[in-house]
Parts: sequence; structure tokens; C-alpha cells
Amino acid sequence: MEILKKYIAPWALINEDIPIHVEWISDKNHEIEIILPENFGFSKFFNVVDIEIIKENHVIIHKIIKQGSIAICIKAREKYSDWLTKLPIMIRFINNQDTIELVLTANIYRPVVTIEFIPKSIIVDKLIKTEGPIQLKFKLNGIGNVSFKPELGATGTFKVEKQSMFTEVVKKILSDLNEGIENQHKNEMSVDVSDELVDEFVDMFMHFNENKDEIYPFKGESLDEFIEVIKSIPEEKFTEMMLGYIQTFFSETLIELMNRFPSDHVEISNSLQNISVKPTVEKVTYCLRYKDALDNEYEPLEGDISVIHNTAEDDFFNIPLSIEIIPDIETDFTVLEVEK
Amino acid sequence: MTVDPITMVAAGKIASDAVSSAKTAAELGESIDRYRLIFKKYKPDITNIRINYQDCEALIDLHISLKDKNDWRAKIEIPYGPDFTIVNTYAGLYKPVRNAWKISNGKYILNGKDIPKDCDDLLVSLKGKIDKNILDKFIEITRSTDPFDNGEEDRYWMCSKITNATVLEKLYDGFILENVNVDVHVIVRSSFTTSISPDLKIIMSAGSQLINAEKSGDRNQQKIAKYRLKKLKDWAPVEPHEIYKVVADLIARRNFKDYVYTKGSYSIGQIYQDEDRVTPIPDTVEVDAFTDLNFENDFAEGHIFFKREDYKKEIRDEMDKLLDKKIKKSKKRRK
Repeated sequence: MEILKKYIAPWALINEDIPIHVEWISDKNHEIEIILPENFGFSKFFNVVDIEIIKENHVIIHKIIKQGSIAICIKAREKYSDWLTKLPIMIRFINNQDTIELVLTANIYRPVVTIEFIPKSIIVDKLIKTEGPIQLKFKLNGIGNVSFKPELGATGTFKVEKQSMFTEVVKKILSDLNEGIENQHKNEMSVDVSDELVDEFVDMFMHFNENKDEIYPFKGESLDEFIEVIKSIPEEKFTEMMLGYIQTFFSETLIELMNRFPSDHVEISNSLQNISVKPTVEKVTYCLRYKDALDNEYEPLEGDISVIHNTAEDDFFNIPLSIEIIPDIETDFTVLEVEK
Repeated sequence: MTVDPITMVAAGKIASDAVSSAKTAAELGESIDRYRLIFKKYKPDITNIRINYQDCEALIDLHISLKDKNDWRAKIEIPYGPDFTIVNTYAGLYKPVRNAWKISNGKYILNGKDIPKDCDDLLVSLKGKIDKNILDKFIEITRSTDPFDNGEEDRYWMCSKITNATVLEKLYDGFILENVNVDVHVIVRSSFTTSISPDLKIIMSAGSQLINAEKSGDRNQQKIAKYRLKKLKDWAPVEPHEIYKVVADLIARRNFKDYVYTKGSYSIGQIYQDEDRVTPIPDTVEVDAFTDLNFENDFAEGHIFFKREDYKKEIRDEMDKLLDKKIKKSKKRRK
């Protein structure tokens, strides 16, 4: 018996289908025993008629339809701790005279996030306003796209606010637009915007308002059209105001996207946040949740930062924070380089 | 051995998979056999099938033996149907017959005059269509969720396989499935977000900083924000929709093919850049890689590479051009 071709997908996440394909030539029929690592499972078999399941990760194929090839899909289910875990897939071709063993390697990867730098304490005083946000730095190890969701809290009375201006801008546009339309109805202003277009716009902005975590969708054409319409409005002040808002809206969308996708393969929702704390608050807490591209969630990173109040103010004091993800450049990715 | 519930479920799933794949093969068989049945009276064999996976067009070669048929020339006629066309007709398997058929009274009638009397075989090529849903079940396509990033390029693995099709193999030996495509969604959004320069970002954020300052009620902050906005507008009056215009123009160039290539048994096919997208920056570009499969080579594997850093350079260059243009224009105006 001779193995002619063997293929296994070169890398996979947990719960991702890993295709395997083997071709051989032989003048005898073989039973095929497949043993996967613990916590692996089979998801698909092709060209198989008689199969005995010994365990979830162990089968014996007694009969195949077409001699000389087999294809299966398998899945890893366990979260490993390293960014890359190499695991053996054992395929045994059994025949009384001639048994051949083939071992393929499954490369299971995951994102691994560690703390790079988190300050031990934050001193709350006037300076905090001018020094820019306090950075919480995390290091990302591994390949693949990862999405992060930071959550802030505190021991005591606090308020968390996204530092995005987006919602503010949208609120302002909506209210001014409504006001403008109301005035139009009262014949106080000669705003000539078709109801349909306005409805579409209100819908769009409302949608943004509701789905703050979503990427902000809009159709470029309708925006261009809208700008044209606004420009044609004889009420100069209204036009100028609306154009200003729309430009701000455009800018904010862009900045949101830049903040959300700050580097390749990284997505952070709300990387900039403000936490406002009362003087009774002694600690700010953080929790960084993260998921891979298949929405597998990994253990979040949690911790706290002490707050030292150095101000006489009794009211909420605003602390701006930013979440930074730094890719680990020291990881040796060449282990996955498979040149063809 | 004792069987735990999970294993039993797994066993059930496997059994149903086997049944469904046999069903699929039978469905495809039926779908092809439809064309054989057109010539039923003349007991044809199917000798070759080429199915184009992209448009589902099937080219089916039918062989009709003319032995022991008296005066067959006058008799061969088949019902005319809108779901197939006769592409070619050969006498004796290789000699093309011109104007072989005429349509009359809703029938294709063979023009027997040009077929030599000693000819024993007739080969007819039909063009028809196979249901896409049936074809899809017949092929297993897998591609990686994530790319592997070597610092310069993003690489995605992919493979395609004709699944359990022994039923068909027994019926038809000359079976080729052409242009089997794998659509890989190449992620491009970060190529855009990371290629907009810090200068442009500062210009973009000036407007909202003013709104923020107005909201805070702090007079000093408002003053600073207003001054900043004015200075930035004087220096380079870039408006945000101009940045989106650069993005749209880059997409309209339709040159993404310059940034992708394949290794393994695939070639680059169609590229779909979402021009009607609802996000200002595209998330992904759909790249089709295609290959041919048949019963001997029923499996194909390969990689798609995206030259990410090169693509970013093109974006950066265009963004820089916009900024430079604005700075120059503004300088001129001030003079």
C-alpha cells in the first residue's frame, strides 16, 4: 500500500471545520481507524458506508464506497492555552498483512491576550483633563481576527460614557432637522426637502442611534443626494448648519471606524471611554472580553486600578481611558509557513 | 461497549449524512438523465459530461448506435424543448455534420443526407442546465475563517471536493466539473482604517471637538476648539466626504486583482467589490478562485494570497495626494 496524497487544513480555530483528504493505492481492502485528540469530534464523512463509532473521537471505517480515497471533516472543541497547539491525527489502514499508520498534524490556534501595562493607580486631579486618556495596554499573541469589548466599572457611584461624539452629533442633527421640518410646516421657513428623503434620513440616523455598537451603515448615494438637496435650500442659515452637521457626521463615522479597527486583525468596540467617579470611589475595574473570528469567547482579563482623589470637588470626576492592543511581534509565526 | 447519548447522536448524524449524499447523487443523476431521456427511443449512452459550476451549464455528449436500425435517417426525431440546445452532431464520433437538424412541427428532425451510409455511430452534444442547488450539495467547499499574516500578506487556505458520487461514476466515466469556485472573503477594512494618516485624523476630529466643547459649556475650551478648527481649515481644508470619495475611487479602479494571487490548483476568477455597500469603508472583497474537478481528481487544495501591505500603500498614496492637493491649494489662495 502506498499513500499518494495527504491533506489537512493548515490552521484552524476551535469549532472550525478541518478538512482532511487522503488518497492511496493498494491491491487490498483496508479498514480505516481514525483516532483524534481528546475533545475533538468528527463533523463530516465522505465516501463511507459502514462506520463504527468507538468514541466521539475514535472511529473505525469498515467499508468505503470508492477504493483509494477518504475525506472527513473534524473539529477541535477544547480551548487550549497557547496561541498554537499541534495535535496528532492518527489514521491507521488495517489489513492482516499490511497495516500502515499515518499521522497528520492539526494546528489549532487562538488569540492569547496578556496585560502589557496597566497603571496601579490613577490620581484624580485637574491635570487629568489635559494629559489625555490613561492607557490600558494589552498584548495580543497569535494569528487571526480578534474582536475586543472592554467594560469599565467602579466600586461605588460611577457613570461610563463612550468617548464617541457620534451619538451627540446624530442627536443634534435629528433635533435640528425636526425643528426645521416643523418650521417648514408652519410656513416660517421655505425648506424644500421631500418627505421621503427626510424619512429615509431620520430612519438612518435613528438606526445609528439604536445600534451604537454596529458599524454605521449608510448609502453614499443618498448622502450625496441629501447634501445636494440641503445645498439647494434657500434658507442659508439652516443649510449651513445642516451641512456642518453632516460633515461632522461623516468625520465621526470615519474616526469611529479608525478607532474600531486600529490595526490589522484587531477590532475594539469603544476603545475610548470615560468613567466618571464620585470621591467615594476607591477602585476602577476593567474587564476585557475578546472573541475570535468564529465568535469563540476566551477567558476575559479582569482587574482593578486604585483611584487616589486629589481634588476638593464633591461631584463626579471624569477619567478618560483608552484601550490599546499591541500585537506581539516576537511570536514565531514561521511554524505555520507551509510553502507549496 | 456502552454507547453514551452524544455518540448515539453522532452516529445518527453520520447515518443521515450518508443517506443524504446518496440522495444527492441520485438527484444529480436524475437531473442529467433528463437529457438522455430526450433520445430515449434510440437508447443513447452518455459518454461525456462537462458541467460549468459557475453558470450551471452542462454539455452532455450522447452516443447513439446506428447498427441494426433500418432506414434510421428518416426516422430520428426528438421533441423540441426550450431547456436544451443541440450544439454539435458528429457522424461516426468525430466527423461534424453541418445543419444536422431542422425544427419542424415542434420537433428536431435529423437531416440524414450528410451522414455516410456505412456510419454506425452518431454523437450528439446537448447543452442544458443543472440545478445549482443540486450541484452545491455535490461539492464540499471549505476555506479558512482567518488569514495567516506573514507581515506582508494575508493568506487563506481553501479546498474543494466532489463528495460521495459513486452512483454517478458508475453511470458516467467522462465527468468533468469545470470552474468550481471557492469564494474567499478577503478582509480589507483595516487596510483602509490604518492607511489614513494622523494628519487627516486630526482634521477630521476638529469639528466634533467643537461640538464637545460647546456641550461642556467651558468658554476657554470653546475658544481653543474654534481656533483649532479655523487653523486646520486654513492649512488643509479637507472635507470628510472627500476621503470617502478617495475610497470610492480606489474601489472603482477595479484593480484588486493586482493584489491577489493563488498557489495550488486554483486560479483567480471573478472579484466582487461591493460598490453598493452600506458602510463607508468596505469590510471585505469577495475573490473567486476556481479549479476543475473530475472523478480521478476529485479533490483540489490551494491558497489565496492578499498583498495587504502593497494594497495599503496604494491607499496611503491616494490619501496623501488628497492632503497635498488641499495644502497647495490653500497656500495659493493665501498668496
